[in-house]
Amino acid sequence: MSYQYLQMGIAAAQGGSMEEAARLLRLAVKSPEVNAQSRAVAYMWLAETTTDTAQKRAYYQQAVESDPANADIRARVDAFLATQFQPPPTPTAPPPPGSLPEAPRSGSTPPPASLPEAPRAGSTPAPYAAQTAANPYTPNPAPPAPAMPNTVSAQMPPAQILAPQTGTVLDYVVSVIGGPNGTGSGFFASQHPIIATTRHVVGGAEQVTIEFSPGRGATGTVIRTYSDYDLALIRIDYAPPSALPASPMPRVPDETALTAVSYGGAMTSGRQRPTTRVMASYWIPTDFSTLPDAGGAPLFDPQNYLVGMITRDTSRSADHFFGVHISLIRQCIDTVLADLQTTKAAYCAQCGSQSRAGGLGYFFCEVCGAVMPAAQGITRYPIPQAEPFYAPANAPRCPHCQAVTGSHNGKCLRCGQPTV
Amino acid sequence: MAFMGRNRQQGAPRIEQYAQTVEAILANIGIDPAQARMAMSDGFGWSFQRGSATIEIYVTQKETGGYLQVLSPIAHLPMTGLLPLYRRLLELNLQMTEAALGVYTEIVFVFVERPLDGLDANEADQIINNVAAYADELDDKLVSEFGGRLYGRI
Repeated sequence: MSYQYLQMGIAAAQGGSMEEAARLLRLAVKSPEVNAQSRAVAYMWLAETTTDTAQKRAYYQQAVESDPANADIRARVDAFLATQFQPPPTPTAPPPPGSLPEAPRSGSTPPPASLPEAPRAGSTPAPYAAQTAANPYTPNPAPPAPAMPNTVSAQMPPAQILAPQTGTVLDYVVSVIGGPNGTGSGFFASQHPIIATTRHVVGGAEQVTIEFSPGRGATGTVIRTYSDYDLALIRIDYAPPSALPASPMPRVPDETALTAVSYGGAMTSGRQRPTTRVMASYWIPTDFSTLPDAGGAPLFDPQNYLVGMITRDTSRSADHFFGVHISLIRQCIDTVLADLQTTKAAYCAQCGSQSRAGGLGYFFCEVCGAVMPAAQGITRYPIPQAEPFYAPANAPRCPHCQAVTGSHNGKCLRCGQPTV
Repeated sequence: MAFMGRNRQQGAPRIEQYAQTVEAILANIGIDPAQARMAMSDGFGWSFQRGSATIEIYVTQKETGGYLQVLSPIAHLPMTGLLPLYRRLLELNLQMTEAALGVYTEIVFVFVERPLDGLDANEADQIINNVAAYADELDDKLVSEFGGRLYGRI
């Protein structure tokens, strides 16, 4: 009976009776007799019965989840998502370091996202054509054998340009695996081989696994985190083909519709949340209160411009998440890359900084005092040459203990006596 | 031996009574109280060696009652590199049980404070041994890693 529901539902959809088709197909997907492959097909047809893009997206998502190995379904879902999020309108040059992206010129604004056409009566709708050509109602149509996943590790030279897989924004979104708070999303925030995500996602990890698509992964090295911004930057050996076009606005206007695109294509919709609270301009208040993962997904405005990254930071009074503006993220990337070129430094996972003392082989981070990863488990001893790293420059000598360790609130950091 | 049996409504013990009890505890664990006694302008204090550690005990009267303080000075702070040392002290603090590390003036202490109510000789002995063990374990380690010098040594 369940397969009859499926059969009748598809027939109703082909006949243009979308409401009836939806009713029958919903019965079919609920039935435990329908196997996963057929359930995925039913979801694809269900997606054709509605013009609500959010609902359509949900059906596609369920189709993918029901039959993850079905490459045809994935391709169709990607094609649909591509219509929702256009690829970069122009391969824009990266913004100069520390500056905001250029304002879009007239004519360069991406066209509004168009909905896919509803299936016409009598025609074989696109989502179903590939699998049902032989016998559309076979309970368990054998899906094509999934292609062997590509493995990228050790096969591609460093900083190789990633070829676009689908030509959509999903090419820029990755999964960050191995942090303490579960899997999160990340994305190429610039044309550099740097993934941006949240510090919440990477925690104190020094290396994480970056997944570009199921089965395609690489190891990423955390090079800098900013606890103030909940931002983490991860270096990998692969660069995106170009930078995503970023919003020219220095802040996101009130009530702007926002979409967070997490790894796998899950989209979370919301708005910029107007607030009277005084906060740094790089924070984007949103009305997002749930996310499919640990955060770190890129945020887009209605024109499909990248405006920032969603974090899991909330205010003390509400559960709404805040985003971080893209201009700050790109500024941080440029700063870190410039620093790494000019100084020898080592990443301190405790405070997230690039420690110059650690880069020179000294034992402790000069920012937080933590033992550097390379100095863990070895015998440590005072190194006179390292002393300047841990003392403030030009600190006066304490008149009581003679130490040159600096003072706080007028008291020597060593003996606690007033320095004046 | 214990203070537990005293009924506060019938009159809390005075600090002198606490001091007598502490001296009895010290005698019970093999310390000569008279030799260990320190001259104090306020309250009572004792100082003695336990292994390589110097142990100081104070009995003080606060508004909320009498308190026993057991502490051991372990090292003088180094002249440089305080940031890594302070961080390490805080990290060690998180790992320690029934004792804490602290800095007073320029000396690093292992420290325990406990209300005198309910204290008996066994627990006092345990506290003193605990502080002495931490002091013994940490003093050489901290000085060899961060510099400075052991308390009372040159």
